[in-house]
Amino acid sequence: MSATRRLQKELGDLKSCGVKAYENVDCEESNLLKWTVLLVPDKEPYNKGAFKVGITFPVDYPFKPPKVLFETKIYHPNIDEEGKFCLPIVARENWKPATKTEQVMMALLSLINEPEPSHPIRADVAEEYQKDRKKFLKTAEEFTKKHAEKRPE
Amino acid sequence: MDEDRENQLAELEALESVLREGKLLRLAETSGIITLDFDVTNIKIYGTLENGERFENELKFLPPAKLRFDFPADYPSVSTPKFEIQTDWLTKEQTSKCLEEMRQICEENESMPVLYFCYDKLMEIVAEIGTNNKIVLNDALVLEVEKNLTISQLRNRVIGQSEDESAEHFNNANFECKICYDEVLGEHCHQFQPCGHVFCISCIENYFECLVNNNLPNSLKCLAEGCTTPCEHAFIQKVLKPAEFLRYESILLEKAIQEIDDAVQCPREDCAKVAYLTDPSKNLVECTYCSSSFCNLCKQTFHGISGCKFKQEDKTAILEKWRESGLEERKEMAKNFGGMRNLEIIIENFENDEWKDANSKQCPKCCVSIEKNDGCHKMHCTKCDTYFCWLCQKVLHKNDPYQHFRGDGECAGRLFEGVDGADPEDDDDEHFDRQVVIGDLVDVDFDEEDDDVEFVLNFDDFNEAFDDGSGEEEENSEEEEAE
Repeated sequence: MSATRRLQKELGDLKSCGVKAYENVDCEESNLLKWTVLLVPDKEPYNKGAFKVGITFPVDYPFKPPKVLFETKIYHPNIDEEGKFCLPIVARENWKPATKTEQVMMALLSLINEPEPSHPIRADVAEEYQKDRKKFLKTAEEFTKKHAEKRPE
Repeated sequence: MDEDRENQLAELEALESVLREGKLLRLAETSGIITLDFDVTNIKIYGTLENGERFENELKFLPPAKLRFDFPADYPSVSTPKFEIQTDWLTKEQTSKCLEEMRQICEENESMPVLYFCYDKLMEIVAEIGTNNKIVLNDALVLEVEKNLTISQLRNRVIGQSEDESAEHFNNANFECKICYDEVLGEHCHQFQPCGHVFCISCIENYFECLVNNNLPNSLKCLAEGCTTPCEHAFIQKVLKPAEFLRYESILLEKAIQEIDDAVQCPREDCAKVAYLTDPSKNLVECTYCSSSFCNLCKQTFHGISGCKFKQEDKTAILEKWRESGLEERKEMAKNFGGMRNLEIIIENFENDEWKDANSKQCPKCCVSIEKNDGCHKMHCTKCDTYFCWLCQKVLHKNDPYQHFRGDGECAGRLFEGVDGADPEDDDDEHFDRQVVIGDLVDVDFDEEDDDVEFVLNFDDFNEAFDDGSGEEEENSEEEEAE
């Protein structure tokens, strides 16, 4: 598998990069193609918790993009109830083999921190975000406290 | 063999093992040319062309120089080697200076092998001259040596040499491919221009193959994140396998054609070039390459004003695709059918057909489609005056069609089977069936004898727009019947 060396290096880099925003980078013991990363956003209303994402690399990685899915529930205009979202950097037609998982995680974090209500997946949440920010922040914060993972110390 | 000769050969053998392969060219046993490559980068050349125009070019690498040597028979014991320096850019003075420096080395090392020292010294001074002096090609010694050489030819030659030098440096360097993280020798890598990103050819090949197999030919660009440098066509041809390259070109052509309103791809497989819609009212497309003319709707040979004949499997496939598609995909689809309006007509006709297949039966004699809404199962085709059984589609005896429903055959006693509200006790005068055929009602003919009403329907309008090829007799229609 051509991906092995690349994935090992990326995994090593990501684990040792020391960036606080993504921690607990893990991969399945027997399967280098499945990772989980804990995203730790720093902006309201998501800074009350942490969010676990699952990354599945295709066998022909890095020639095809990885699939990234939220495993932790999140109340967000651009992320649906099943944890799916649209991120150009990992879209099939935009994917570049030189793109690293770290860049994908950065893009995902900035999506969490800065929702894009003009391209929502959840129209109701986007509407609330635009029309009643106070209510949105309150709901999202409560949702985060209830469902999100604990932030690492 | 004398001692000098032995020393000469040993010296050349040693030198050969030090220099990179191909850098020492032996002209004879004791003469040859050494190519000197320099690590001097980003230099400029200047000059004035024949027409007085000044030029200035940036070169990535200093062009190589050549040192020609000839050992006299008594070298090294008595004499020294004969040297000649060949470059395209050193001036006469600079060349003389180099030769003088080498002569000094020979003097200092009397009776010793000096070729390597001279070579080494020459590398040093030429690199220094190239770094510290303005290179004006009009002053180059080579113009005096080669009388017919023009300044513009020389300029091109020097630029070419620099490019070769640059390619050679690239091929011999090691790169870490940012895709597979392997250390790869430059000759197995490709550098995109002008962005300069380098990846190993095997990764580029894998990536492009993926894109072509996923119909994404427009994305054949540099592999770096966010980089939009397009890949050169020649390189694409080099990395893709021949079959994939053909596929790549045909996808590109298809996409290009879709951008042009009146262009379509010639449906002849061995042509497949661009053809143009020359008469939109008749959907006539003419291919300028193979001179064939075909219908833009069904892609078959042009058939004038008569309707298209689609194959059943094509019909099913087109209908299925239409039903699965969203608005955007339907728009894409329409490009293959001469626009949305045409496609809608085609789909409507297919749907009619589908409905007809599901809800009507054909007259066993003339094959016209007949729909039965109501009434008993003894049918009468007004087109060919045939009686038949709706249940088993057998032709019935003209004089006593009901005989089929008596006795002990398979349809015996089933004249009204499954007919809603059928009540044999009903007053016959009030009872009539309505059997409708797809098309317009053109005539109503009361059959007094049987109290039947016969609806004769017209398929003409329908067929004009579209003919599914299931039978020309299907012109007009149908009939109906009551007890």
